[in-house]
Amino acid sequence: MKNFVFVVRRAAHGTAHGRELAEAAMLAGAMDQSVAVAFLDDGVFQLKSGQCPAAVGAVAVTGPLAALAEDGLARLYVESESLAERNLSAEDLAVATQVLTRAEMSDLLGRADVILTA
Amino acid sequence: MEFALVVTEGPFTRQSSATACRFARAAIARGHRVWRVFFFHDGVGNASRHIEPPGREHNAAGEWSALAREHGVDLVLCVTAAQRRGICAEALAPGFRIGGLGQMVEASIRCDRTLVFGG
Repeated sequence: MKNFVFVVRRAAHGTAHGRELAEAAMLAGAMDQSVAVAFLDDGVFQLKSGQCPAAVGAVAVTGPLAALAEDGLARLYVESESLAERNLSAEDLAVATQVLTRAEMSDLLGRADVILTA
Repeated sequence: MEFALVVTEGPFTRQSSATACRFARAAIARGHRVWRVFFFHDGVGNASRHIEPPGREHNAAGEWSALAREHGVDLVLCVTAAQRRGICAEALAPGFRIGGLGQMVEASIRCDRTLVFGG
């Protein structure tokens, strides 16, 4: 088993990167790997409550992200500094996510065998 | 050392694909093995046999095909990403094949290093 970390750094809907990376994380979890998904920078917007993706013809991302954790396929982490820099807090998130400091996020990435970004 | 490469950008606007292909050749020249290149996100566009850049400009599909032909590198596209972007099996340049995300994970499990080009 390898320790995978998928790093999401872009907001939802403007690009498909987060959505497609979540699909890859699901696959890795289904293949019995240790999987974490880390939300940094604008990637924290993926988790925000109050999204209306249908208004722009997009597909909801918060449901599939929550399902990753609920199904035990991946652990979800969000960086506290990235939230604060965007005037957000954990209460603004629609998905249950563990909040890590930038230093803790650095440790998480340092322990990874494979880091996949988009 | 065995490498898995993941290419996430298209064939022309960004340099990621060309850099990845050159990295693969450099690694092979130094005695390493590039076991698989996985094309994900807009990276699936590198596989189109319809790419025809003018003059002597970089031809992404042609250079990847040559790498596969000369060194047996496995070139695999994410099927879902390809379908979303209109890349079907009939459109593939030689050496490419359609696969699934499981093959990206498999390559990362097997290989010593996974490098992502793009993003």
